[in-house]
Amino acid sequence: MTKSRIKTWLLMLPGAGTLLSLVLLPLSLLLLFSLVTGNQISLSGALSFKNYLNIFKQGLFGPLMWKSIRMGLLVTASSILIGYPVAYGLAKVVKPRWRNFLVVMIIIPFFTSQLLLIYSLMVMLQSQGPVMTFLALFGLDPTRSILYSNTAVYLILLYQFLPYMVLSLFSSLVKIDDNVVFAARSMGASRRRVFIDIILPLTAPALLSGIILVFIPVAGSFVESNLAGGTKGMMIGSLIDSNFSVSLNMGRGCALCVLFLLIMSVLTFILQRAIRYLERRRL
Amino acid sequence: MRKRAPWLKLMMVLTYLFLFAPIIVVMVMSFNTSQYGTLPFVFTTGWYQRLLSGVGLGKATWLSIWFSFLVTLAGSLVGILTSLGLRRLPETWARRFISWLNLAVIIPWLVLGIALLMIFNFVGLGRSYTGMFLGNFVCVLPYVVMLVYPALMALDKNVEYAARTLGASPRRTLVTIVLPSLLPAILTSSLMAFMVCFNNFVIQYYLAPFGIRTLPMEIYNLVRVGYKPDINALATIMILVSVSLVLLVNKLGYGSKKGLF
Amino acid sequence: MKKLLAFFLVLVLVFPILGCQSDSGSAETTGAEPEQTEAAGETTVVEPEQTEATGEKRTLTVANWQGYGSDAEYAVKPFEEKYNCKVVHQYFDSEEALLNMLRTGGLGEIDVVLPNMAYVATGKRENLFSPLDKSKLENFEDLKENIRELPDVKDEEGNLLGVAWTWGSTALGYNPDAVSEPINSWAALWDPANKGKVAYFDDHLTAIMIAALYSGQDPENPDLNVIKEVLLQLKDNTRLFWSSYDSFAKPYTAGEITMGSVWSGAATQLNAEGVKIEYVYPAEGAVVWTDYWCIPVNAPNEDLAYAWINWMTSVEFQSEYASDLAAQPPIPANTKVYEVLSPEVRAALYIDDIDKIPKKVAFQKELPPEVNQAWLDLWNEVKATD
Repeated sequence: MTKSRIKTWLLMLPGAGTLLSLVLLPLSLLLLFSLVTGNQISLSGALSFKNYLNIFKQGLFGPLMWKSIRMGLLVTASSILIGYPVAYGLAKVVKPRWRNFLVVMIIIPFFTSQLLLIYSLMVMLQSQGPVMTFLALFGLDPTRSILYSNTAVYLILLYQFLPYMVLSLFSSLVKIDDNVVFAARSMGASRRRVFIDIILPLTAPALLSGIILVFIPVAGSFVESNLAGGTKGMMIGSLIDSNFSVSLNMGRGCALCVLFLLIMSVLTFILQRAIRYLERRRL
Repeated sequence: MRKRAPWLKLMMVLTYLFLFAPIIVVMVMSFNTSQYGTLPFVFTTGWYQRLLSGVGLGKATWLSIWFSFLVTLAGSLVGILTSLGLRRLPETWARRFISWLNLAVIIPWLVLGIALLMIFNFVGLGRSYTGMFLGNFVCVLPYVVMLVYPALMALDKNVEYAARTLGASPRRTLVTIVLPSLLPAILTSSLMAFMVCFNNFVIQYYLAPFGIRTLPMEIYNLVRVGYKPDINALATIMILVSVSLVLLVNKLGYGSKKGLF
Repeated sequence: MKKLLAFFLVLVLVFPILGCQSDSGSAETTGAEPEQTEAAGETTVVEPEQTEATGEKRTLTVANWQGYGSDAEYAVKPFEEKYNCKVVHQYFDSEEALLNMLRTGGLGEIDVVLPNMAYVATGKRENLFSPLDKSKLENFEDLKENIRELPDVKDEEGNLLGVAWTWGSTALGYNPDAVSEPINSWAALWDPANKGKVAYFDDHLTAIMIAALYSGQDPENPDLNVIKEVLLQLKDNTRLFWSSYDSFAKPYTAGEITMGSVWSGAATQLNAEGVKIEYVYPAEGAVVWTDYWCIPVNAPNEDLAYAWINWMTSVEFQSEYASDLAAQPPIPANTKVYEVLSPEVRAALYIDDIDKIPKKVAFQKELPPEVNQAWLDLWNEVKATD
């Protein structure tokens, strides 16, 4: 083995060790338990696909999964639409002396507690809260708030995950040489062309990271929809969660998880391909 | 490039307003008598008195801050090492490695927490600081790698070669060329890592030692029984302290020249 | 590079300042390892020997819900002083989490724990709880007769596994200003006149039991097809499913909802805080639950655990807890307490008039795992239906 190979392995060692022992090992446990029926922490029972059959028989997985994916896509799309201008502004428009401050400010609210922020958003949206009191000035009924609806869940999720998109995009935008954009503009490229031909390809990897960091957690979320979604709020995360923490049906819970993982992996694969296509257009 | 961009600025102002609105509400509510956040507003400082005379919130805050800081530090270090290692591998392998690592984000943390607890029990670690550390660490690592590795790949290798041919040692090249250009990615990913760990209730709930509570656990428990606005008071203090510190750092350290990023 | 260094230095500086309100320098671990009691098993003395002030303090680990009486200052302090020990609380957020905590490493760490009756029975099947020695229970004879020795809390040999501590009900709460005449039936929740103003407890057991009471079925063995129909009708009327005190109290106070199924303790607390709510036992019946102190097997401080149970069931503690109305107190199990409580407190706890307590109650008790799963599946189905 060459010295360089050894160095590569040494560099990879902590990360690979973490991957093996803290990601892949739990994952294999998950796969194994998804084949065990009922709530056994031991593996005494026979292995079978009964859990999966039960899930399909119940028929809740499909609709809830679809709902979660829709919510994930909606939040991700919104965060991209908001994230690009904000990150671009931070990277290129704001004076450098304020840049650090403003970047850190993006996550400052989360220095308190995510749960507290969710509650605070709910206070804002609830009837007789600030938003409804304001809207009441325009003649809306202040006791019929938008809280306890999917709109409220969407707003809360967007709030929580927008910073990841902004930070992701920012870290990449800030590395783009001002002169590249400047040159393109002076040669007569429109703003749109600059964005599509220069900025988008150059930031594609960061965009992908951002999408993964927003889309996946949103699709798997359940706390927000349980708290603020009202009676129509249930998402796939709640179903998984309830099998683990309400009926203690480990097997079913693990099987649901495996299905969730499979679908999410396929979706991330597709996303990766799409982004790779954007990237290839790099000049 | 620094032209007037009114709609961009408007967008930024609105976004910051959106991000800070709940915090402002928290601050206002910390002075409001109603504990359910309803208007009309009646001024009180009672919640601050309650907080200061109070229960274990201070201790939990302190624990969470230190703990998240350590996890972030470890996550950033290992994340940078891993990214450097990944760059030396063929790109397809590296991408495959990252997708596997991303599973730590895709697996719902509830399930990851339970699975890790089972493993830790099996190896005799059980609920412990070490276990809680490892659990949070694995959640944080993908965030770092996902930002640092693309930044590393976008780096112009020619600059490095130039430095090397001019006689710089590998270490010197790393310290003077590679790391500084990675700085934006490293810092933003550290911020994210901190944010993830500081708020990672589920993993901490399953892996924290018996009788030990971090801030998210404390708040989660309080919220279930009906939280009193003394949590708002705590959040207000934390926000004010951290904002003024960031402001201070900005003024003192990097006021004149180019920023950190 | 300097900048990087400076940044980290600043970070290191930032954190101590942020945390300055805490009293201690670093995250301190809880006390010392609990020392083993020398007397093992059956011959343990009732009154634990008080260790010398110089010696290491023992730590009693109590598992309970946060804010559920046992972690109040008036609960912990006198006990710590009397037995010269430290009381540490380990909180759980659901009964299932409690069992999971014991299964996954809690045995041998936790001294005393407070499960609901149904979960005493589940724990029993997995041998999680030690049989109790009744002679060491000072207040057993004073505990409410019809709950202290239910089959769910006894093992096959007839040994007691849990000591009744508190009980309470889930019944109907409503805002008297929002309705034209007093309500005394679950039908109000199904009444289209109240559409969009109803909150319903998001717990599959309670949800199905109430639906069974409403539709006139046996709450322990209802026809699930009928229940599903009934719950789907209810869902049309319902604004939200609540899962914790806060998630009921907030929308109720804000006027988003005006009625719903609710815990007696929640109504007590809301009234104590000046929010008007009427709490009634509907004619169809209500759901009743009971909580028991149990000692998990291999508890490190069994003697202290007995002392704790005796303290928790004492008239002195229970009356103080029951009178602390803003703490959402349930109803004490020690019947002697009822004589001590003032009429106002008894009224606030909804035990002033024994006739008001319905004859028909559905006890929340253990269901076989398959039934439990079927109920949960049904409830999830109802929630997922658009």
